[in-house]
Amino acid sequence: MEVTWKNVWLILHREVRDQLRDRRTLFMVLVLPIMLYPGLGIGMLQMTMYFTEQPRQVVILNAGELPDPPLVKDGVFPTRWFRSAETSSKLRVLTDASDDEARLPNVTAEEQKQLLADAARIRELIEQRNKLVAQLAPWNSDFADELSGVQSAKLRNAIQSGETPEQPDNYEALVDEYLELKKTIGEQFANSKLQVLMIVPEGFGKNLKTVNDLLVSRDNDKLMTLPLLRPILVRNRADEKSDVAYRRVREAIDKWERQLLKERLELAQLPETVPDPVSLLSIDVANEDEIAASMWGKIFPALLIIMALTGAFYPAIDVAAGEKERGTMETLLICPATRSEIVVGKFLTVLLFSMATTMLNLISMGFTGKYIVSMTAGVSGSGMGAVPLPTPLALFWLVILLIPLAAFFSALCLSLATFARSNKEGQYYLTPLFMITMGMTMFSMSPSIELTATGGASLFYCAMPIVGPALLLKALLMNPGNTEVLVFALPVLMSSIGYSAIALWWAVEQFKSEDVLFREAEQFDLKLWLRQLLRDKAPLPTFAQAAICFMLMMFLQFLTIKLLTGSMVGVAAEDIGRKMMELAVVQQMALIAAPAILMAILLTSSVRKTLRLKMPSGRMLAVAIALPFVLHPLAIELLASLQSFFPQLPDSAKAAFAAMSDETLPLYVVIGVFALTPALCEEVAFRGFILSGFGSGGRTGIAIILSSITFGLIHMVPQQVFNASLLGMVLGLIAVRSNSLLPGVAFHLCFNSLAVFHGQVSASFSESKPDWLDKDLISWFVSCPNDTLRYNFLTLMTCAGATFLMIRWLINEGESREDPNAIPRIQPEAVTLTGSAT
Amino acid sequence: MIEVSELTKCFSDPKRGIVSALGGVSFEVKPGEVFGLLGPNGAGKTTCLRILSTVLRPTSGRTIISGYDVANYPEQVRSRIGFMSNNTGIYDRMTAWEMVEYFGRLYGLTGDKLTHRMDEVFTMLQMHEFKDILGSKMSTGMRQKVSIARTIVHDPPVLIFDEPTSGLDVLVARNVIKAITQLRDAGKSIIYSTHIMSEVERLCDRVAVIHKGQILAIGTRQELCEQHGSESMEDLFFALIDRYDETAVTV
Repeated sequence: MEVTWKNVWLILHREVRDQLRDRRTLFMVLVLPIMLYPGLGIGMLQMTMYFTEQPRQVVILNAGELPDPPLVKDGVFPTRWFRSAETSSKLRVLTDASDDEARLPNVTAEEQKQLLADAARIRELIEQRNKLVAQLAPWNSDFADELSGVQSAKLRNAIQSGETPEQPDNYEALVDEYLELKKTIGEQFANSKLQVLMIVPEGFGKNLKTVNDLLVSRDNDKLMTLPLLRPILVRNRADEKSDVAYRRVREAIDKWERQLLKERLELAQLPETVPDPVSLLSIDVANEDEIAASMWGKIFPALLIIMALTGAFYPAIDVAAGEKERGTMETLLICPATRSEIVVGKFLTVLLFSMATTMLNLISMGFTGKYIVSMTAGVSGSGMGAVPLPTPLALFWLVILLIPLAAFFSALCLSLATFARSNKEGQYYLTPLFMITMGMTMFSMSPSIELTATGGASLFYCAMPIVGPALLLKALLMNPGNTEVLVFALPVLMSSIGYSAIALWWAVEQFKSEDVLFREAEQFDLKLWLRQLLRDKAPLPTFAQAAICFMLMMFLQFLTIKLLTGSMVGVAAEDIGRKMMELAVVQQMALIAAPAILMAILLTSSVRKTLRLKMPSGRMLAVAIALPFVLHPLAIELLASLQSFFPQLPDSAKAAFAAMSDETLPLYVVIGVFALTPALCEEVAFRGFILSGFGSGGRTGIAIILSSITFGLIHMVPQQVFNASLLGMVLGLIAVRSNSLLPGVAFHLCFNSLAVFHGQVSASFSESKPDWLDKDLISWFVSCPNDTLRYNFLTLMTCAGATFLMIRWLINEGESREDPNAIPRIQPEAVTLTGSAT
Repeated sequence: MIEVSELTKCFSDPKRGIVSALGGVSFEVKPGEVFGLLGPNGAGKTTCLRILSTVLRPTSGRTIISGYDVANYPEQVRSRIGFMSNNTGIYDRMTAWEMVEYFGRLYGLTGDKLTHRMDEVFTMLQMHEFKDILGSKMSTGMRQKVSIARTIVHDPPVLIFDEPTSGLDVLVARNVIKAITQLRDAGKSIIYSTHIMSEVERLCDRVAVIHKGQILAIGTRQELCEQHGSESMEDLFFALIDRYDETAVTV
């Protein structure tokens, strides 16, 4: 890819000027962030100032029974019953006590009468309900709880110990009646203008006084048997107004109750602390910086990602799809700038706008947030002081991580927008990208997902696009002093830059494709498309077909996880191993081999070429058989030394490994399941269809890498993903060099068989360790700590040397013997420049 | 100097499978000559010219422009041709001057050389009075002039015009034809594709009649009329196309 920076600069310069002359872009990039947040902030402040809440209506029946100190005075709960004095003004209380003058504001005498009538009606219903509850209480602990103290405790104990009396014949009818009544009460309450209704029982004040007197005289026997009267608070939890009012009334009553309790204890000459044996004291050590950091840590990463995408979205559509729509694409294509220069120029434009949008949004949001918080803090004294902005170090990382993130989105948007014929089509393509990004952002923001130095999953999060930077940023903003997470900075940056590079490469490919640049406006017809797919076959599958094949396998695996675990339920313990092996074989054949073979037959004209069904050379086969023997010890030791990096194996994988070293099963079964089946199925899929497809463009190296990564990913378990990806490289190399599937199958079979033997030998050693193992000479080669056969220095050195030699042979020697029908390689063209100056 | 030999181009079409848009086209254009490519819509004219301008890659065949093979040295070829068609639009949010200057720079012109050349082109096409107007505010005539100025700003030896007058009113079309005549007199090799007979008669030194991806006849106007016994280009054109379609049906 040859790039003259002069042309890139020219294109960048033009595009930026073009975008700056576009009102829509300017609005999105500059005006919106600068105006939006302050506007929103001021709007919110205004809302809180002018739209104060309407007071809610509370009705108290039998208010005269309430003992002193007064719970209600002058139609409100006095401010002393609330933590914050304002709350008092948010509730209006109407009582049925004598004074008719104490009216609710904005309510006519008529309405007030109606309210009281409604309340009285509801009280009747509630009383009916309570009778029913008392009848049903012996069989229902919730109902038992509603009864007064002593009775309630007795019934509950009886229910818990199962000593309930026999249910009466009309039990069901009573339950139905209760449910019917509950419904009626709900309807009545909803139709009335009541938000909360408090019903004080007749004789409540007297009851309270009796208890106090008994307490003073220490007449415990009487005290224990005295029935308690309980006031009732009715609310409708489904109605938010009612719910909020209820919580406020509860606050007042709780504080009032506390006061009554205090007086009671004083009368009884007991210390005030009697009801609080634990008397917990909780201390909040978070300081203002941390509260702020946690706020920024939650908001900024999400905002950064969404804004980086939004900022890339519109310019990308305009510079790619828009150029096609306005008919200037061809004008640009016939100028001497190369496609790469054009794409890079456009990409840098999009990147610039993406970053500018993000930065402006963050700055505007940061300052508005700080300002608003400090203002509200001054007003209500809510404990939130001035919120400091993130530390300079955190901001530095914010900008550093923004670059690859914005680059990734810019390149991705540019590719999709290039594919589109018009602005409108571009927006259709980019909307799913938006959804996916939102999903990944939400995922990263959930508190349980975080980067931790010891957490095994962290490295995998780092390797994910979008999620990696988001998590790193979250960690850095939440705890700026935490330098531990900086170990993840390099992997996150590397993977982000890698993803950006892939996305950019894809954009360039899009720009080189005639089909994409000169797509005619044609109707999409599924039937025609399928017919074309089946008619115009090439000998090898395309890149896209290989990718689809892989996605299909992953999707099938995902779908069948539930099915497979379902079929394991209820299997007897001794059969689990056998059942698991059956499933493993089915899974290999149906989910891995079948899609590849079917796609090869349907989509390619030469199944033989695609799946490399050809005899290899003897030398190639010999190397493929020898290589696993020297690679096996290296792989075992590598995995063992990296053990701490990986998360714990899931139970299903542990069970599978256990089955591998199960000595009760015949050896040929274990080898068949764990070595032969995967060797055949996975080779057909990954070295057959997928490698051929990825390599069909002539890029053998990339094809091997991609096929080994996909091969790794299909293994799901992190350890296996890593292991299989490395082996996939060797297998890919063997397949490309021999141009035959057979050496790969042989390698795979040997390698997996060795793993099975290794497991079995380890298992047998754990029972009885042979004496020769401890001999000095032997221990230079192998040893057996912790019941696992481990390879030592001399074995490893020998194997590493042999591996090196064989792989070098594959890379060099193999090439010269390569089949001319193998994957075509781009030959550097013989460049002759003759007679050019006419 | 343009040499085209046995040029073919196939597309994959969802309805018809592999479609051949060009089936082995050969011709040659010399400096100081306007070569007409005459054919109905869908004849393959645009495909052929897009291959010459390196925007499309040929399926087979060879094209040499100013000594460079189009398939192997697309950048060199692009800097030696000027290409204008209905599809080559101009930017809405750029003025006439900026647009021509931008392409001048992409073609490698800088400094005084660029300003001087631009002045020359703007004078020749009488564009000075609207040089600061944005593309979106221009009339069709102005836009067409900007397109021509963009095509010739780097003074290329080879010029390709693909139906440059379609959709233009008579006055503007006349101006375009006038400009092309001037360019021929300056010694350029020019390909001019059209389906308008009168333009061919006025402008072209040699003509190729193209239909369904095939060249049916090639030569000077007089040669063709004499060979096929027709009196005008129009008679000749319809006679050739009818004859081709008849043989195609009988075969």
